Amino acid sequence: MKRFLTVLVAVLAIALLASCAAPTATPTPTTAPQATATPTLAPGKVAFVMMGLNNPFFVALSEAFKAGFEAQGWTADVTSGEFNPQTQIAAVENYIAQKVDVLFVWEVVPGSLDTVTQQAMDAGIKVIAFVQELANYDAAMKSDDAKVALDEVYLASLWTSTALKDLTTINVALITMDNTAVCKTQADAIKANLATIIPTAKIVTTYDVTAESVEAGVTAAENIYTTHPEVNLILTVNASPALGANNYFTGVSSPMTDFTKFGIFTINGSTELHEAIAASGTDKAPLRGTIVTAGIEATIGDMLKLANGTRDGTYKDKFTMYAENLFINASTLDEYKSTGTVTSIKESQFGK
Amino acid sequence: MNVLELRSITKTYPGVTALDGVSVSFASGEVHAIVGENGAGKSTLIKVISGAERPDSGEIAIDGGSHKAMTPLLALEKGIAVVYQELIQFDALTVADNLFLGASDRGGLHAVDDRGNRKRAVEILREFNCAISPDALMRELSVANRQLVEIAKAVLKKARILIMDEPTAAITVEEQKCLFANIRRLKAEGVTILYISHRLEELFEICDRVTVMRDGKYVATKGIGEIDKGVLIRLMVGRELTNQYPAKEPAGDEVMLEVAHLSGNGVEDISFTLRRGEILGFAGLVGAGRTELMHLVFGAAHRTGGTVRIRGKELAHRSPSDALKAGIGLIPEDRKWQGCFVDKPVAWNITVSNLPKISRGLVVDRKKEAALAAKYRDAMQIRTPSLDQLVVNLSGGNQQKVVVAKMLAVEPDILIFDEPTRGIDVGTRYDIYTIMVDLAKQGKSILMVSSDMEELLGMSERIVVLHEGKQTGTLERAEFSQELVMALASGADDAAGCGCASDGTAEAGEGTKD
Amino acid sequence: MKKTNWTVWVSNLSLPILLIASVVTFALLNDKFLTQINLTNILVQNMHITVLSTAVLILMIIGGIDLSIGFQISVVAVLIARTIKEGILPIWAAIVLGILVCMVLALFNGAMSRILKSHTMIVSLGTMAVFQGLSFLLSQSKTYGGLPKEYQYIAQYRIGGWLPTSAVITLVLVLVVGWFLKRTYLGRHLYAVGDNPEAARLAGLNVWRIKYLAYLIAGALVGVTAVLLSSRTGSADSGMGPDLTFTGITACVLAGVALKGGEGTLWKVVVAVFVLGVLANGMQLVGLGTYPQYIAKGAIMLGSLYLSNRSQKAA
Repeated sequence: MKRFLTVLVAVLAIALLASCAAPTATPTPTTAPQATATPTLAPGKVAFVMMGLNNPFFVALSEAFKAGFEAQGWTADVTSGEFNPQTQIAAVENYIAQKVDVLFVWEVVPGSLDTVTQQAMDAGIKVIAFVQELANYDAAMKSDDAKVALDEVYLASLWTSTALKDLTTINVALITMDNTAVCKTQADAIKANLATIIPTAKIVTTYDVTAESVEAGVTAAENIYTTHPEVNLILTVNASPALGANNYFTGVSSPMTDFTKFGIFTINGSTELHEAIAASGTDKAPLRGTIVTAGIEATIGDMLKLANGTRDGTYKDKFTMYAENLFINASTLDEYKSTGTVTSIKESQFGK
Repeated sequence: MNVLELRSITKTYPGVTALDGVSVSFASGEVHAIVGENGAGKSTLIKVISGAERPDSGEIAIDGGSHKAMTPLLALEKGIAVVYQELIQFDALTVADNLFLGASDRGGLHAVDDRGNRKRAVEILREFNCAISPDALMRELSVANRQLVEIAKAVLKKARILIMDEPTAAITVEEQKCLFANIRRLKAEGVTILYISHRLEELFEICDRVTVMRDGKYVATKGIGEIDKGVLIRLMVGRELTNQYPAKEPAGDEVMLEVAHLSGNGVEDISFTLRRGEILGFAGLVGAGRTELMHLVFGAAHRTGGTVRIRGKELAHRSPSDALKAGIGLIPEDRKWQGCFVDKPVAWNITVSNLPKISRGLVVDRKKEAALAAKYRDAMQIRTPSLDQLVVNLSGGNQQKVVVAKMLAVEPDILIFDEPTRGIDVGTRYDIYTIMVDLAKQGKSILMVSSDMEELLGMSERIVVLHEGKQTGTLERAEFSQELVMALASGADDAAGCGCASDGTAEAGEGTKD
Repeated sequence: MKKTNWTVWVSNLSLPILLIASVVTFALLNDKFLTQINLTNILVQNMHITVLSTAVLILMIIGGIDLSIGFQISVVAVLIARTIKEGILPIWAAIVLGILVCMVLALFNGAMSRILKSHTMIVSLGTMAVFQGLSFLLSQSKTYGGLPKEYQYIAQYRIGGWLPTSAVITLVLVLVVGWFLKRTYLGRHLYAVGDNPEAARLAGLNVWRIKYLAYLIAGALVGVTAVLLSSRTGSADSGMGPDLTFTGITACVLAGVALKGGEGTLWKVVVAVFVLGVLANGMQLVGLGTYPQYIAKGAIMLGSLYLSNRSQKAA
């Protein structure tokens, strides 16, 4: 028993040492811009404590981060949090010691970095919370889940206001996935705002799927159509079920052939939706649009803006920047595919 | 002065009287051997003393008090400890942890005192004069060292009566010397040791007195100086043949099976021949390697050397299915685990080895299946309400008949019966004997492994005796005597017609069941 | 004796009774439940699950549990979809290739458990990760949508305007497997090997050859599952299989298939699939959410375990 404990403690100690050593081991060359750090705000030192680097998105983001900042003359460094709060705390402490100018932090466990990031701010480092909020920070960068859902309804309203303008009631079916917090937030946002944005809309049924799969969407569509063949609009909170529903209605066993008074809208998704969205322009498919958050490049652009802004005082005291949402439907699809962004439909044109 | 006295202890299991009015007493500070054949009742005796089994009648006197039965707790209080042949230890824990598990003298919840335990472990292991580190993991130790740990544990529990079940079965000569030195030391400290062993010669080295048991009965207790090995063997086997065996026709001349220098699976250099219509018996003590040899002949174990010829044709079979095709069938020792599919119907079991033959293409012909099952049900006189009855619902004897029927349905020329009547009631035994004799009459040849001396002598025409994986003799009917078989099986070096000495070493890992 | 028969009878028919009871309940609660369109829905929603459960049954009969079948489905579906989409092979050849690959994957599982001398469940935990990686490598994390109409016809076509082809394919497979398990000697050998491998070996059966046969058949059925599923959804991605693993095992356990091997009845497995399918469909129709569904599923599992244990004691 004792032997086991000794070994365990030894392993932990070594792991701790290794994780402390890792960031310091990477040499941080004292570059010229740092030496001439003056109020004119030449590019300084920036660091990013990530959650981890175990999936392609995280890796792509960290690489784009380094490339993006270095292109602007910054000295950029990234540490993987290894999904471990201890690793993240040690990383922040190291960056304090290295006197970085701007620190992006994507916290693994909420609250675990509150103290150490406060120390960083006290040391004059600009702390920017990434996705996950901290107790205190200079600026934050988040994607607003509820707003994404709201934008989905706005995009749908673009279509309903012309295609379904003759209907006194638009019958809406909602496909939710309440076992995931983000999806539930989004579904709640749709339920709360639908009547304001599309006054004629009425939710006739809500179908909850448990897995984000295409098959779940097919089954959902089958069951929805059985009980509510009068449905005009299906709103979903994730892409795979939306694609499944689309495939059911366009499939060879579909009970529906005319899609002029029927549409499906969703959130996220990528190339697999493009074919259907393109076909929806001529009413050959019901999947008409999706909302995607801006790509990695746009994110890095925002991060640069925040880094510069916090240093010169433009952004301070918990300034929050939300990632931009892009509106993709049959009319903007080509623009999105060629430029990677959408400007012809903007968030600002909706609402009050 | 007697520390422990058993008075008229009787213990019966369904169909078997394991102990029949046994009275024996053990003196303080003596090494007292208990010997007997397989099934003489030694194991049950240990269980009664350690409280693992409750006797039907009789009493146990210990410390001046008298008890109807021991319980494990009472045994612990009275300082009785058993070092079993199969050691029950925690492989993943250290020696020190093993020593102190359950040996706490404090009650209730308390922290494990690791430091104190380790210190005491060092002391006790030093007393045993052996190089075992208290920090070593149990699974890193040799069998002998594990045994010493177990004995040390008993000493820690302040054991006054230490029972050792076959302690030398799996250890080397050197280790045995160390063990004996420790036994003598404990004896000098006044510990009484009950020593169970199949190896008669070592009894003369270590024991003070020896008690002989036979068929669940007490035979005699002798001072070791009063007797020699011959006397001991006579005491062990000295009984008259009581069972009747069906008359058997003499075997033919044609050699069906010729095994030469066969090795592997824990047996070494075995040779014998089997003639048409012959029943060849295989004798030996538990762990002698008889079942292992049969598996080797049947192709169910890996052969490392030697040849097997059927009707002069050499067989290089590597699997039971090859053996079956060549005409050898096995009725395994363990019915429930090796012999039959207890959750399946009788007909299903009888036909399972023979399905392709009763199928048209891939499809089992149900008429042929029913006919085949019915044929062997009748031939074996299997008593079952229907062929759809699950085998688990049959009696042991009828289950055994199902297993035999399954093999016979394949129509092999050579049949291996491994312990054909174990756990079977007397009436059905005779049925099985009749079946075997009839099969021999039909020209089938039979290899029979048995731990039942009477059965071996009554049924076999010749007997091959094994001792610790080696062939110690082959007896013709004219030479048959219980004493001789027993002597050969015990590896006794003064047995007539046997020049091979028991060297006291045995392959580790063998012979661990009793 | 009579009481024993009664208990056995109840536990044998507990699943059909459960199925009828839930059908009646849902029919009373929702007037759409017994419509032709909804009954067809229930049918097409459960065909691929039925085929998959048949594969799980075969593996469980020989005493194994395979956790990697979900990702086998993903690998094969993605492989077929990609081969078709990129025009590498004609549809029929892509399907044949997919099913063959799935048989190889299954055989790999079997061979691994033999070589590593480990229980198939533990081995399949490892191979599951391998197949997961394989499927993501193949799919490059993409969803292959818009599969051609001809491919979709495999599962979605309605013969005479109402009979789904997936149902016909499934029925044929179930009948063939049922015949194989019950009537052929190879089927009998599967049960023998699963019930008591040592006794089977000593009875002269070639245990591993029989197990490999089972793996091959199960692999082919998993391959068909992948085809039916991707044909039904008109798309394929790496995430489509894993959820099904548990559904298939659940159906078999509900049907009283013994984990120790050697037992299991196909018709009960099929009924169990439909009990679960009707439950999911019906509870959705009457507007009960997902979480009550979980609870109902769990309660039914526990109840059926109670019944099957009772019958074992009675037997």
